[in-house]
Amino acid sequence: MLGYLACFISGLVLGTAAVSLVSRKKKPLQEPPPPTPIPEVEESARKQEDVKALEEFFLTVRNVAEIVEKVLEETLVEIRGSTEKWIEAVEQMVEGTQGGIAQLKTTITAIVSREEEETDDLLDKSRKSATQIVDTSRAAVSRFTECSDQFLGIIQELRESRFRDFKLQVEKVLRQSNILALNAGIEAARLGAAGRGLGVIAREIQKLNKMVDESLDAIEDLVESLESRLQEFSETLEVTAQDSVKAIEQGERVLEDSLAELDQRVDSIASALSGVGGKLDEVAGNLGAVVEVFQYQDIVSQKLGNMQGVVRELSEVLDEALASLSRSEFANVREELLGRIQKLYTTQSERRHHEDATGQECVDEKRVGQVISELGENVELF
Amino acid sequence: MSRRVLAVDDSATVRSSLKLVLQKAGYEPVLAADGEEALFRVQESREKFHLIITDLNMPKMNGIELIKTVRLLPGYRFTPILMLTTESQAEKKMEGKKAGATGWIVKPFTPGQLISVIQKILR
Repeated sequence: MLGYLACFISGLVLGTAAVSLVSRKKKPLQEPPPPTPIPEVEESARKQEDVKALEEFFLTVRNVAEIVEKVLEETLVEIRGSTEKWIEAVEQMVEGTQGGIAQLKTTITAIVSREEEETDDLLDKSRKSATQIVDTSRAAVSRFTECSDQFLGIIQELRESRFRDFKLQVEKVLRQSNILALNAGIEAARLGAAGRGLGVIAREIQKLNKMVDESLDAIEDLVESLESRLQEFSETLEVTAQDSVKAIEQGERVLEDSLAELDQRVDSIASALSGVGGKLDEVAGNLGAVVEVFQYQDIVSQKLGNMQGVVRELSEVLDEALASLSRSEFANVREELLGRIQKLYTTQSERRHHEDATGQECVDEKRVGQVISELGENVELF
Repeated sequence: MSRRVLAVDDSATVRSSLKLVLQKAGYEPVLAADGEEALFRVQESREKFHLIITDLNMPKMNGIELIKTVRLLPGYRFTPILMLTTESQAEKKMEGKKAGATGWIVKPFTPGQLISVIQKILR
């Protein structure tokens, strides 16, 4: 295959298969026939044109690889950042809850060992308020473990489905473009001075392919380590949640036993229960962290999907180039391919990376509605 | 009586987030995973929704098509509809505006921000 490709590119650059080129050079009948070119001059011009087409083709491949590399790099930062935020929020909660449980146990022990008078009305009132706290705490434990499971689910889905498909697609393109870059490098060496530009681009593609490959490995390693860290974390959380439930249940039992005693005891337990439940509730209801993390996971997943589309488009172009092996497959690819992949982006940053890599204007973020400063720059009302 | 909000997004995590934010702020959220399901929710519901929040890119029926269809239903001509999406292209925003969207929020959003926008347009 490699030898065949090398022969092809060699033949291509030397202009042996340039039928379309000949037909394009036909002139209208009215005009006088062009002077017969000197064969050496014609061959040299054709050679230059072919080299230019190849250079443009490889430049396009390089640009697309750059876009993918940048988006992958950004994705890595987003996965890491949002996961760290989540872990930090949960760590604080675990620490707080464990402190709360210890406090609750101390309170229960202290209360059980004391004897005091009772007042029916106050007891009844306190019982109601404590029962409410117990219910809230149980709901918080359940909501919190649900959030935690969901987060682990997102990471697993990212690794097992979205990322695996993406990786396979990228690996295919890396193989295809490496073969082409290798052959272009050989050809560039044969052409000497004329092939200098082509050689530079071919080497850059190989470098960039290596970077994309490394980014893929880095994301895979990160997602794997996050998953195992989250698994461990999930186990700790499970224990904390179980401890909380046990502590709450124990508090509830003491509460029942205390009904014949003073409201002060009930209030103390209720207050300690509230501490544990409150901590759990704080994290389960810590909307800022949860909502932000969930959105970033969604955006990351969307970007991987978009990049998979970009890589698929590139792969099709490479397939065509490798299969038909005609110069026309290399010419005019740039505009068509870049136009197609522009339509796949859904985020502002993808368009920015496209603009940076290709020099083509892609970002159009003019205001359409009214921006109200107190609502934020990302909100427009029509 | 709490106000009913229909939240439409194909991402389960975004739906969960919206549910949490809306419930916490005292709204009654109803969720749908795409435009078709949202349309079904609107048509099957006896009570009218006070607000619809929708994503743009979704399978089956996208956000723009959903708005166009909803606007033709009795009682929904002036119902506020917010687009909540990662898209920030002027061309797309213009499409949304023409279809009848009330506002456009680019993700990521903060819970406080979303609630402020809702309060402003439902005022």
